[in-house]
Amino acid sequence: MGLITETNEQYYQGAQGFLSTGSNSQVYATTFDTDLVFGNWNPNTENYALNNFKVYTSSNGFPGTYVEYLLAYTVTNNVIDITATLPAGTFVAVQLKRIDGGKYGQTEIEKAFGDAVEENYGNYEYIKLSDAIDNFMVGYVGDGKLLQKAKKSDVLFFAKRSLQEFSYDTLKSIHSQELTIPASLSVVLPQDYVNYVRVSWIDPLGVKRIIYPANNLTISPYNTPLQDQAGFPTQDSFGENIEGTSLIEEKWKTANDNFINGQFANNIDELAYFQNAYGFEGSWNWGRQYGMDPQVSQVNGWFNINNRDGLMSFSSNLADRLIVLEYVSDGLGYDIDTKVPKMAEDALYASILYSMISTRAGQQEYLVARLQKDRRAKLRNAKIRLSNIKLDEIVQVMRGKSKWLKH
Amino acid sequence: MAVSINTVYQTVLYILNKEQRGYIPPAEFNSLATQVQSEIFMSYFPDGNQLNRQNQKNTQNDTEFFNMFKDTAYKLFPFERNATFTYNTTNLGFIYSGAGVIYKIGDIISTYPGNPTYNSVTELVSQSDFNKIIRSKLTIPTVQYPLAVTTQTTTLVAPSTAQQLLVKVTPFATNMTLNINCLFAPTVPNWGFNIGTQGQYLYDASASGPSVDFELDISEKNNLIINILKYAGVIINDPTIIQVASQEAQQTSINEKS
Repeated sequence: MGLITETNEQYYQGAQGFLSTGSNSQVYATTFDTDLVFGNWNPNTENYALNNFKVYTSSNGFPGTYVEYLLAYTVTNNVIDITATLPAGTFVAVQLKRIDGGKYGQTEIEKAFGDAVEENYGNYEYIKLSDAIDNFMVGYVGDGKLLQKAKKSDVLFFAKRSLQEFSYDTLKSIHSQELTIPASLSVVLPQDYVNYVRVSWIDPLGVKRIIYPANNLTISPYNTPLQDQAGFPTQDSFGENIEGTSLIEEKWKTANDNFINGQFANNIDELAYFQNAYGFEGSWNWGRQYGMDPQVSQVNGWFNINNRDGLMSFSSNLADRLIVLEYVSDGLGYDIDTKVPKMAEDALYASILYSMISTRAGQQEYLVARLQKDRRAKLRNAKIRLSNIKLDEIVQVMRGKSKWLKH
Repeated sequence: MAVSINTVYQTVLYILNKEQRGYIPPAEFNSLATQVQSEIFMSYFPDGNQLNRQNQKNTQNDTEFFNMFKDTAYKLFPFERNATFTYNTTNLGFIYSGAGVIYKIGDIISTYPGNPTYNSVTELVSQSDFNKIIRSKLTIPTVQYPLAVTTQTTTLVAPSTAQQLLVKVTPFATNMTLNINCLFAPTVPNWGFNIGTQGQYLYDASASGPSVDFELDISEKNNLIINILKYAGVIINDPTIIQVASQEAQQTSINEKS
C-alpha cells in the first residue's frame, strides 16, 4: 500500500465529496490526513469556531449550488454522522478550512476560512514521531533481534531525547518570529525557545541585516540585589534579598552606539563628548580608524539575552525596528505528533537503538561501538541531506571564485 | 481440537485393567484429570520460555511443522481470547465480568473514543515502574502511550464473592474501553455417567455435570493418558505402573525439548 492515502482533491482543495443514499443512517467517513476538529455544529455556539471544517450540501452538485449544512451532526473518529435524513442523491461536501475559504458556500460567512489545508501542505516530507516509534517497535524489537524486548516507555524516552538532540543541530527545525522592537528595547523569548540561530533587522528593501550578540560589550546580570551603605544585600521581611532594577541595563539602553562602533568620528559633537567622557585629547585620525575592533565595528546593533527576565534586549539604535528572530526549539514543544524529516528517519532509529543498547547492562562493547559508529554515520548523512546542498547552487556560488578576496 | 474425556478414561481403564491391576472410579478419574490437565497447561510456560531461547539465538528452525516453540504456542491458542473489561466506579479500575477464569493477561488495547479515536497499545508496568514513568515529562502517559497497572478490587463486585483482577489505566477517560488479550484457565474436565442396571458406570455426555472434555490440544492426548496413569499407579499402589508411566512421560519431555 502506498503511503499517500489522500486523493488529489483532499490534498490540494481540502475537500471530500459524498452522495447521500437517502437511508436513515447518514454517516460520512472522511479520510483526510488532517483529523477533523469538532466543537459544535451550531454556528450560534462558541465552540462552532473550533471546527476546522464545514459541511455543505447541494441537490445537484453543480458549482455554486452548495450551501452550508447548519443542522445537527456529530463527529466521532473523523466520521460525520448527520442526524437528519438527507434526500437520496444529495451531494455532501466536507471542506477543511483554508485561507481562501474553499470553493463551497454562497456567501462569505458560509466560506470555510482558516488554515487547516495549508498546514497539511508539504507534510509528506515528515513522519510523525509516534509513527517512527511504532516502526521502531516493529523493526528493531523482538526475538532474534538485538533488542529482544523493550519497554515502550523506554523507546519513547530515547526517541524524544534523540529528537531533541537532532533539533539542535541536524534538523531544519529553525523557527522564526517577526517582531518590532518596542520602546523598552526588549522582547519576550518565544515559548518554545531553546537557543537563537540569528537575529536580524529588516531594512526598507526587506533585506536581513544581522544583529550581533553583545557578548563582550555588556551583560544583563542575573541578580541585582539592593545594597546597604556597607555594600551588603538588604533583605525583605521574608528574609529574601531585595532585588532592584539593573543599572547596567539602563546604561546600555541609553548608550549612544556610535561610541562603540566608531561612527562618532563623523560627528564633531559626539567626538567632543567622547573625548570629554573618556579623557581623550588630541586629534583623531580622521577616516583611518587604526586599531578598530571588527567585532564591534558594525552599525546593525546588538542584542543580549536577559536570563533574569526571560527577555532579549537590543541596543538603543534598534528601537522601532522590524526584526526577525530565528531560533531553534527541541521539536517537542507541542505534542507527540512532532514531525521528523524523513531524511533523518534512519538516523533516528539508529540513535534510539544505540541509546537503548548502550544503557543496558551486560552488552558487549564491540556491539555498542558498532552502533555508535552507525548512529554517527547516519546522523552525518542526515545532516548533509538536510543541508540542502544542491549542485546548481554551488556552481552559482563558485562563479565568483575569480574575485579577489578582500581582507 | 479438544481431547475426548471418554477416550482418555477408557484407555486408562484398559491399561489398568490389563492383568487385573486395579480400577479407577469416575470420581477419582475426574480429580486426576483436573490435576493432570492443570499440570500440562502450566508446563507450557516454562517450556515456552525455554524453547524461545532458540528464537532469541536465531537457532530456531523455520519449518512449517517442526518448530517446537510454535507448537507450544499453538497449544495455548484454545485458551487465548480477547476479553472486554468494564470500568468499575467503586474500585476505580477495569474488571472482567465475563465467563471463564483469567489465568494471564497479555496485550492491552485502550480505546479512547473521540476525534480522532485512539486504539493504543497499553504498556503493563509494575507499580514501581509506573511511579517512575509518570514523573518524567518525556514518558508521561498519553492517550497514544497509556500505562496500565494491575491490582485487586478492594470492594467486592457482585456476583463475585472474591477479590478480582483490577486493571488501572492512565490516562483515564470516562468513555474509554479496554480490551485485553487474555489466557483463560482450562475448564475443569468431567466424565459424566449414569448407573447401569448392574451398577456399572455408563458414559453419558449430558449427565452429572455434564461431561466436559479436556480443553487441551489433541496432541496432548498421550500426555494426558500417561500422566493420569502415573497418578493412578499411586492410587492403586502399583510401582510398576508409576515407573512405566514416569519413564514414558520423561521420554516425551526430553524429545520435545532437545
